[in-house]
Amino acid sequence: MRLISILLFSLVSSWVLAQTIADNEQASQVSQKTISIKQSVLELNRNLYQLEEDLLSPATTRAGVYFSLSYGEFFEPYSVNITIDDKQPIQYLYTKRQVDALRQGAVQPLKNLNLGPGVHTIKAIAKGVDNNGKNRELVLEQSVEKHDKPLYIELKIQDNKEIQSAELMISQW
Amino acid sequence: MKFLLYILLMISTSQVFAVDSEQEILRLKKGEYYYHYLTGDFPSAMNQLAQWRDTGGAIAGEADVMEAAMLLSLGLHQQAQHIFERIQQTGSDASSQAWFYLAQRWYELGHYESVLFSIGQMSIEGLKDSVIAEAQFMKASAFIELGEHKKAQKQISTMARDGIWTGYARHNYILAMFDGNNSGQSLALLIEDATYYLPQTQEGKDLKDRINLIAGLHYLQGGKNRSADKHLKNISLDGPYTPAALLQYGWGQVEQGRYDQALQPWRDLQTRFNRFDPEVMESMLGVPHVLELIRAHTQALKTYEVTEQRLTAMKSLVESINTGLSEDPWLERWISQQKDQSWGWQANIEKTLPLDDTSAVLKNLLVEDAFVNQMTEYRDLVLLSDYLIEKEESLRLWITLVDKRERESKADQAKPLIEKASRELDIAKDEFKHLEAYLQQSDGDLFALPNKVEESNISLLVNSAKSIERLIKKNKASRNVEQYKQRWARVKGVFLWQMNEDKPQKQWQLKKELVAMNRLIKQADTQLLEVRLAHQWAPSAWVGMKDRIIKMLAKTSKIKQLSLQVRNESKQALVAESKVYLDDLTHRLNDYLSQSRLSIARLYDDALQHYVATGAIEELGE
Repeated sequence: MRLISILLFSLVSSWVLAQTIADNEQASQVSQKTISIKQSVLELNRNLYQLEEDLLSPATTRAGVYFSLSYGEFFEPYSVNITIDDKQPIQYLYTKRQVDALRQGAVQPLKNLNLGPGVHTIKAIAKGVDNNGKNRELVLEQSVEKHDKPLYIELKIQDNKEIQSAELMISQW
Repeated sequence: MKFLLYILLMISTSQVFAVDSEQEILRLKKGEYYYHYLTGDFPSAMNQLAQWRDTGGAIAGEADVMEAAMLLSLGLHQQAQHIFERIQQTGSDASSQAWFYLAQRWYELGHYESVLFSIGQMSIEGLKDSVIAEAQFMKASAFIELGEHKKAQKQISTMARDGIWTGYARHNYILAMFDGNNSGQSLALLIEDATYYLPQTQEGKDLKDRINLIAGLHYLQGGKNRSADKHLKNISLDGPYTPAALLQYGWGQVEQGRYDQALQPWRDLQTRFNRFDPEVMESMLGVPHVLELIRAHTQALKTYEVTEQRLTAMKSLVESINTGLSEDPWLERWISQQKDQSWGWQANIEKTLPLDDTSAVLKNLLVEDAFVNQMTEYRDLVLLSDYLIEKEESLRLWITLVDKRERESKADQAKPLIEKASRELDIAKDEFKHLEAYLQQSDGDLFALPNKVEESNISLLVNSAKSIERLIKKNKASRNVEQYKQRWARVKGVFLWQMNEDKPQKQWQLKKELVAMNRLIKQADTQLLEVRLAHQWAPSAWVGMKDRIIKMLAKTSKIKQLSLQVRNESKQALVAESKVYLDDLTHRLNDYLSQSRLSIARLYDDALQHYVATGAIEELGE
């Protein structure tokens, strides 16, 4: 009787073990397939990104607006509001994680635009707090010129240690 | 010679400007990549990296390191490993920040030699204190994992005493000491140091509880009950380690024969925590066991009976959940509660399931890393297949739009309109030139720039002059023409005087209008040029695009089919594993039920035997 019980037990155990191994193998196969899909999606995503860029804004009319923060000691942005030729408003609210990223030297791609050739006027307002915790607005108005090559516009909040304050600046390439 | 120098200067200046501009664009692209990376948007970061790579070899080293880090973040270790091996062989000039990110990923994967290599490439200059502390922690932990305890100890001694990362490093070091069966005063001091120097934050508090729990368990296993008591008592009553601490504290008391003191923590455990927790289930049988030990047999019997009823109810719940698990959308409910919609290892995932019967029963499976990784993988597949479905739809819409662009471009009326506008502008330019010439001539012309009244006055003067001429020709003696002549000359004089007085004002007005007109003509000229350019560029919005979209659509559909299939397989694997867990739980409940039923039977049997024995004695007495 005892022998039969041991035999039955070992049979059940081996079946359970085989089942567990089969489950693990299935999970590992799924993992391998998932990795392969992730890689395909990444590659596809790159190509799609390029295609969408070309469809949305061909190089001739492409303009990108970027936002960056230099040190950010005297100003912490909460939001930014930009208009180009009093049209195409760009508004953005920042999370703490995004501000941290900007402080570490990251540059935020705010928007890709289609701009015709010629001179355009940019108006920007950055709202936030200064190093004393008081609400502050940095305002800027400037002209940029679009040629047949892609235009890069960078809005930068730069600390000015001499006046213990920050200022909003614009650069274009 | 001077002229040549000037030309050379001009050429070099323009070249420097072009190089500067390229450098600045590269800086923007690099910054944009870091932005996506630091905000956890890895697919966008990968896109950016591809563009960044295209810009040249100057940043290839850094791009390699960052790509490896990102592939690791997305769970693509093999590809990352290839890149990393290449970097190890060829060397790289990547920044310390990039090496830090790579070290983080290797640490998560448990590749400790690679962690040490990556940290070895870092230089602490310019890095934030928190980054340095985390790197030091990874280095110390990597040494511990590789068995180099002295190096780990030396590393920990260089870290800030009260930092959270130092606390984690000490925790890992203590665990290594336990594994190596180390004991004695130095270990006790190490534990004391580790629990004392921690920041007063929730994270610091939880870490303190964890260190106390591992110390308590270690001392319990070694039979040092008083030391174990000391550490278990220090664990807070509202932390993640409370159930384990309460259960072990109870057993410690039982070991020391303090039965009544074991009951309180176990009752607390049963009232405050999930009944499917192994600690709670164990305490359910522990309480009547202790009651038996203190010879409170009736109470023990009643408690066993209540436990048996609770276990039966739990078992039927587990069985009903197990039966309907395939149809129950518990995984979908969990996915829909996630706020972060990104995929990959760095996605900010809420790992707790929405509170319901299924999640309560599966609680202990849901804290296993392997199972959580599988769930995360399933979530990734759901997100990826949804993304692919969305992209497929979007590509179909693009085909329609490109077709429309092509139709509109071919039926385009822009060219004749541009030509017409050009002709009209030429006419305006001619008129402008004519007016400009007229303004220049106006200085010498006495009757220049007349207004309407003046024009009629001039014609009146001309007509009057003709009338006077007629009268002179007739030359009648009765008519004195001289008077008319004088009067005409007087009127003409006054008129000319007035016109001459008004002329500078009129010239100024005309000049102003001409300037405005010139500005408008220039604007129209620029606008016309822009329209011509836009018209010239317009075909780039559709030429060759349709073929590209169709190719991309076919590729997307293929990957989508595959992802849907794997998504299905992943769900089936999760359900199968959950069923195995629920079967195990049912077996465990069966074991506990058997134990409680056996104890009930034994207690009844004891009582019966006692009754029979005492009855027989009484009978004998009678």
